[in-house]
Amino acid sequence: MKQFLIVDDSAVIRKVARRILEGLALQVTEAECGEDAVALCREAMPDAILLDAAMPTMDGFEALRAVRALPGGDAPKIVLCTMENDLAQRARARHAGADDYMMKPFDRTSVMNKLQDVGVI
Amino acid sequence: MSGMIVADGLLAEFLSEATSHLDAADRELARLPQDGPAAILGILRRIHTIRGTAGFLDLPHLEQLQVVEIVLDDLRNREVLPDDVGRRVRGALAIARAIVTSAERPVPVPTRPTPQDRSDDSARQDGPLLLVPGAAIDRMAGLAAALASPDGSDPGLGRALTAQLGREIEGVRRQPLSSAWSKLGRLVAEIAAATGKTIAFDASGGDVTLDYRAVLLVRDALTHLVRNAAHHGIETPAGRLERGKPLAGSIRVSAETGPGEVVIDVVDDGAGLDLDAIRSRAVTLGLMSDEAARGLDDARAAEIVFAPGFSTSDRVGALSGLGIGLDVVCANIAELGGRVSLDAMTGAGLRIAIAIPIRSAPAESPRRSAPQAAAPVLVAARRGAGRDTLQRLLSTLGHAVETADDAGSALATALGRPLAAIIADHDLPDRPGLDLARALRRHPPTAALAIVLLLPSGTRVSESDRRSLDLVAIPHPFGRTSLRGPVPGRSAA
Repeated sequence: MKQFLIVDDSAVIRKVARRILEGLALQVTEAECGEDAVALCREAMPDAILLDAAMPTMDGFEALRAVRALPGGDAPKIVLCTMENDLAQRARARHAGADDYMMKPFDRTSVMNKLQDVGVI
Repeated sequence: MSGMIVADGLLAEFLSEATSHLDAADRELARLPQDGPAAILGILRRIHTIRGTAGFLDLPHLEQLQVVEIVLDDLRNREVLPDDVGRRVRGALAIARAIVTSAERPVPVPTRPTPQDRSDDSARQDGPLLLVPGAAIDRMAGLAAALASPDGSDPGLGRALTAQLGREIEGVRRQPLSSAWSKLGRLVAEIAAATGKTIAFDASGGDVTLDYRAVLLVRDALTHLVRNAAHHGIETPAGRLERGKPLAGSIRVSAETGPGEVVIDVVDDGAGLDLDAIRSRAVTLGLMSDEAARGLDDARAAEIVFAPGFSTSDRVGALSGLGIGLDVVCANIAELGGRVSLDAMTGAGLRIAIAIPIRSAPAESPRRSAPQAAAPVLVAARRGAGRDTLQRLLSTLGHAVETADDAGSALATALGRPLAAIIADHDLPDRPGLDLARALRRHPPTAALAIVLLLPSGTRVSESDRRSLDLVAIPHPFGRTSLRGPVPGRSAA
């Protein structure tokens, strides 16, 4: 079973994402901040990460770079999630090492599509 | 997204998250005096986050938080924060809290109008500028819930519900103009007390409504105009006695809805404008040549006071009837696609009319309201056969045409009325057409005006000028084809 990490400072969004991902038969762990996400990745690298871009202390972009810098950090498929739909933000996400970019709010369909795009499911 | 349901405690969790964001925003508010725009940005982010999370819960009426975001974003982007910024941000936060709280209550479907529809006027006078009546939020939430229900998937019903929701949103956005002048009476009284004048202030038509963003801009514009009238327009009792006027001066603000627009008048019975002083000031400031200034008729001369750099210049007090802030007025109203006109009655007072187009409700009709009479194209060129030919050509192409003999009068005309475009000869008597283009770009009312520069043979405009000024340069002699493209190209609105 594939391991999936959800990173978001909102418990509500983590819960919604967990429900969607578990429905897709993925095993889910949660982190509520960038720091925790990096620590979890250091212990056990997941197969994929759904990563919130805007978080208070270490944001998604920083967490992304930190994960990619870890041993084996280039393996997971990472999708950055944000409310901003602009090209600069997309470019920044790619530049920081994201595999893809997803708009919030997402639902089952958009998550499925995105995960198929990046080859997780 | 209708498949996503608010269930198993998610709503409670959302509310607790949203509340902690709002509490954090309150703490940011306390830092506003030190941090200014940075604190507002912090608050804006919190609200943005709440709205983002609400999207996961299918709580569409929380989209109303966007209104709060717009207000905050507008505030933080200002060059100078208004004096009452604290009150405004606090008001915006109170609205955000009200919107979030509305998610707590289950909403009856469908809803009917209630007597509390219109909140009473006294609440409006002292409340924050943007009031969102709870009843309206309930109605919108009800409509949203109906849309999300199986009924909403029926195309006809869905459309009707969406249209109704659009009208409700528009209603919430519309605010009475009285909120734009509720503080002006006190302002006038304060100025009167400080200057030893007696001034009666009167306002009418406060129930006319406009989009809240328009009300904000109108309020700032009116504050400048009324402060100006009280300081510089109305004479001292002794001065008024000398001129045979009643001792008490009067400033009146009124609003009424006309066809397609709201017209707001600010009338005072003070000294009016000293047009000769304005003409010579314009020359001193290099806005135009002496000859051009003398050639301006009174109406055009009066309009110069709206030019930036003119009205904000130092020693304005030396000119009777002039004060600061008139360019702000012009910029604010131009932002709304409106226009400002001025009727100076030398010695007898001043009337400034602000006309603001009423936008059609987006949900009712995606089309813009019908255009007003087409704005003219201004041709700035020396008198002569060339200009006459150009004028005829433009008329043939269906444009109304106005002319100006030099850069100075072209600028005055362009700042005073909406134009479809300006076509300027580079070879103008007072200064090069390129300088005119630069001046036009500097002034908010004409910053986006389509500019065509006519280049006599042997003259060139550098690519960087052409690009930075966003102008179309075409060589003399021109033909019908060369004019057809660029002229209607950019919208002057």
